[in-house]
Amino acid sequence: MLISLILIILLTGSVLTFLTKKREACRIIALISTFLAFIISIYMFITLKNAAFSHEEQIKWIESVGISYHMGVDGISMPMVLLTTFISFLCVIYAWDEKLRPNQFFGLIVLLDFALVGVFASLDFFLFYIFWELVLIPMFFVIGIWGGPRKNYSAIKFLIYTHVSSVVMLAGIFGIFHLNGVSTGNYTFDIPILMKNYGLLEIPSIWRDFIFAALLFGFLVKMPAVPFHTWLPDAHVEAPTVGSILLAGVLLKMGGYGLIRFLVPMSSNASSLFIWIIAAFGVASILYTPLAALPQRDLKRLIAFSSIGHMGFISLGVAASLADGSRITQILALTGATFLLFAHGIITSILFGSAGIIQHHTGTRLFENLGGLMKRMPKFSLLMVFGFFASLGFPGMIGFVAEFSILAGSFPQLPLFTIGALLSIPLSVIYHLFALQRTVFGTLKTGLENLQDLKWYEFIPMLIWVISIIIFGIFPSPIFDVMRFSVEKILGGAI
Amino acid sequence: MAENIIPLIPVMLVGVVGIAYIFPGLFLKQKNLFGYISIATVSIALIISILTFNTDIIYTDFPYMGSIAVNPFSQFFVVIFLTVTLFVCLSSLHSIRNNEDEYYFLILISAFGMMVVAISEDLIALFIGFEIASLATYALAGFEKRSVFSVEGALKYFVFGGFSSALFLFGISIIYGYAQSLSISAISEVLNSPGDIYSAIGLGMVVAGLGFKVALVPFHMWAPDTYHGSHSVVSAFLAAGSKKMGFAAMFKVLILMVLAMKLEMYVLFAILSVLTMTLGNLAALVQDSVKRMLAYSSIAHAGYISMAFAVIAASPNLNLAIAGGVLHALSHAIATAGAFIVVAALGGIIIEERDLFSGLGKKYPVMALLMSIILLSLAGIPPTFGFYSKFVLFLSAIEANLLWLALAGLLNSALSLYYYSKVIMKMYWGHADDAVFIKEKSYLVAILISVILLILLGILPSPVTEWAIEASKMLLK
Repeated sequence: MLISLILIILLTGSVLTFLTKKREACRIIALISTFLAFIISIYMFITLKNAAFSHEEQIKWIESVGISYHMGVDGISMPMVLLTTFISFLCVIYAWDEKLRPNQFFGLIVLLDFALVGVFASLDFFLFYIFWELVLIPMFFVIGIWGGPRKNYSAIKFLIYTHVSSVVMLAGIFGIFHLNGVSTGNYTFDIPILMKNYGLLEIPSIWRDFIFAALLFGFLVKMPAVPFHTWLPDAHVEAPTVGSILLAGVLLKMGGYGLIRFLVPMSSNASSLFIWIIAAFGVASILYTPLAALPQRDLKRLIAFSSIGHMGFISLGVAASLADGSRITQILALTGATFLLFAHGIITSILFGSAGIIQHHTGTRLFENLGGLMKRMPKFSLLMVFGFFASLGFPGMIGFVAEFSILAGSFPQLPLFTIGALLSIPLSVIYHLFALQRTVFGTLKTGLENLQDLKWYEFIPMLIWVISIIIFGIFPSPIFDVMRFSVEKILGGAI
Repeated sequence: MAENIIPLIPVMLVGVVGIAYIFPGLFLKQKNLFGYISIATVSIALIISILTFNTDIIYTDFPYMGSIAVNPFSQFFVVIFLTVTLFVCLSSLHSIRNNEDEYYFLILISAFGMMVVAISEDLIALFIGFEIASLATYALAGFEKRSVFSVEGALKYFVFGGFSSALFLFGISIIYGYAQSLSISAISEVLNSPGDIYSAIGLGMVVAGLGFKVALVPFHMWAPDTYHGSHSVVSAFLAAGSKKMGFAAMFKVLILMVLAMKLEMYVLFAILSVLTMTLGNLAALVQDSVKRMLAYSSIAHAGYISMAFAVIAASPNLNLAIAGGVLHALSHAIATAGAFIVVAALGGIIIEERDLFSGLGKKYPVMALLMSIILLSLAGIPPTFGFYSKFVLFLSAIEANLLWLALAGLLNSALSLYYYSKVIMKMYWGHADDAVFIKEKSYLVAILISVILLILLGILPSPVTEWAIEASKMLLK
């Protein structure tokens, strides 16, 4: 019942936040509901059993179409739920000072939290798709109402682009349902049943390729992978800071999560060409990112591109886990990819948080107007440096663990792709350091003399994020091992 | 043996009350009384028909002689018509200020005609119901006598409608000549062999005749002008009620005949459906006026609903196909009625002179929220009923192995989100200008009921799905 409890708390919290007119009251309601959700998800994480799914609940819903309310978490989805509630909770603190329509703003953030937890915890395709689409609506409004100058264009581009990918994915889901029903006579949208049966079905090759391609397209656009990434820089640049944090920190993870949750178990029944396609999209994203990021003049746009590169590593890890090779390296690659979902969620929150703080304090995000922030904002600068180092994969931090596992696990199966990915690392270091050098270090630019350091509501979330990247960078095992167990299971064909 | 006539009460009640309006209208001064009486009548009828949804009676005694039957399918459409009529009556309370007796007479009589179509069991009863409803809606479309647009729309509707009735009737007469019977079930027994040229011609005429009514491309030309020119509440009635009557007739006539004649018709229906939804969506994309956009969007939705014909023709045993079709008819009826009523509530009675929706989110947040939910339901975004009905519809296309049709529907649906979300954007981040907002509770009640239904049925669609599947079994029997 814990998953439903989280969902109920968040939904009620969201509605109450909307209805509360006073700024002080609505943000406290939002804070309490996201905090409760976070605490419950920690408890769920601690009590997670190494069974197929923990905290499972199933209620009949629409029997005539084979739909049930089926929720549950395992080692792959539980860290995602934890990440969602963790980041949403800190986002509410980060946005504490929001002045424009605060009740709607906080209400949408809590609603987004609700929808995202639903995406990661659903074990029924109908339910999954409902939450998957529901995520778009609050984000559309967050970009559109609180966004920057080109918010109209960016909001609708985000909505249409990702919605098109979702409906294509839905066609794939229909295909799985149909084929399973025809072969087994059991018409159901239940994810564990469908995934378990899928590998055993006799499927005409056109259906097989279509289903895999449809789901892959849905997930790659969401991740996003080059060349389907064009919605992302616009959405990020125009979104308010909290919107960007949630967008990059959690929304992008839906694509990677989908790859791991659905395409990996289905791969035994897919054409091997798809392994190369996934790997190629991944490496293309990895190599494209530094080239696109380097010439950017806007800090936030640069950070937005960095996400695309990190998501490329996830595709690479997934492809490596499907390619022929030893089971140990396959597991390492896929666990690394799963761990990167978690790691990148926290890292990117620091990066976008930093960009937001710079924007808020200096009024600009353009490199030519920035420089020497260390002299006026030492606390902030330290935290931002930590974030950027974690992002470029500095050892001892969370990003290193993830990317190291992916590269080590991928090399034996896909050596050429892995070397290609490695090539990007020096370039990636360059653009990260370049960004730091132009903002934090150097001489203080005129007009920035009167800067104040962080306010409490900016400091606390940034500090917690930085602490967690260090703790999980040194001791990744609590999360890494949980993921590894489930990854072994899905690579073994079970779900 | 006396037959159980309780299931017929809704139809009779609405018809009798409607006719009874004629005489008191001549001398009664309290004319807004008619509105309240209509609301009460329709509510009672609605409750009775929901309670009796699971009946299955063919009335073989005098005076019906087997020409009408009440079953889950007919009750499903009766409920659609009565729900729409209820919305329309509620929102007419304050927007119709003259000649109320005539207005409510026309509304109730056309609702009566629609219900007769739903319960008809032979082609004559069906045609009579169809014509009663059509004649009343022609007058309704031109009810705003002083507006040029209304008169233009009504005239177009009348000419096209008359032509389509003639085609329909001609088709029926050819089929009668071939089958020697007007009873739908008898016809389907006679035609239980691959059809010859005459029955195909007859069927083609029926398709064309009904295609006009439901505004399938290429028979759709009248619809945008009529919906745009009529009083917005009447547009709601036309798009949500009258159009669904066409679908009720189409389901009744076509499915039986197509199945009986074993014609390979699914390609034709699939093409009609894809053309309709694509053209409707593309035209809606470029509209500035929300009312006109809604008119084109309802053409696109006619395309989605008619996917069900293609699916059932391709895979005749699929209950889900008809269930998807009727569910989408219901969801579109509720949503589009709500949307047109919002237009009316904002003062867009005939033609919008100003940008009614700009900045609505700042001025009337409740109305903007309700309209957003209605639009999201039309676009098929979960967790609304519009999503669920499209879900079942597209799922049935996949089940019938019509992958390309499902993809066409899905992509069209994705495309439609663009113009719906443009309205939402206009409401929430447009500049507020001084639009007239008619602060009458009756509008809000109608809109609120439609939004509650859309969300409630979207979250708990199980009972209505069961009903739709029962309806579908009844048709495919």
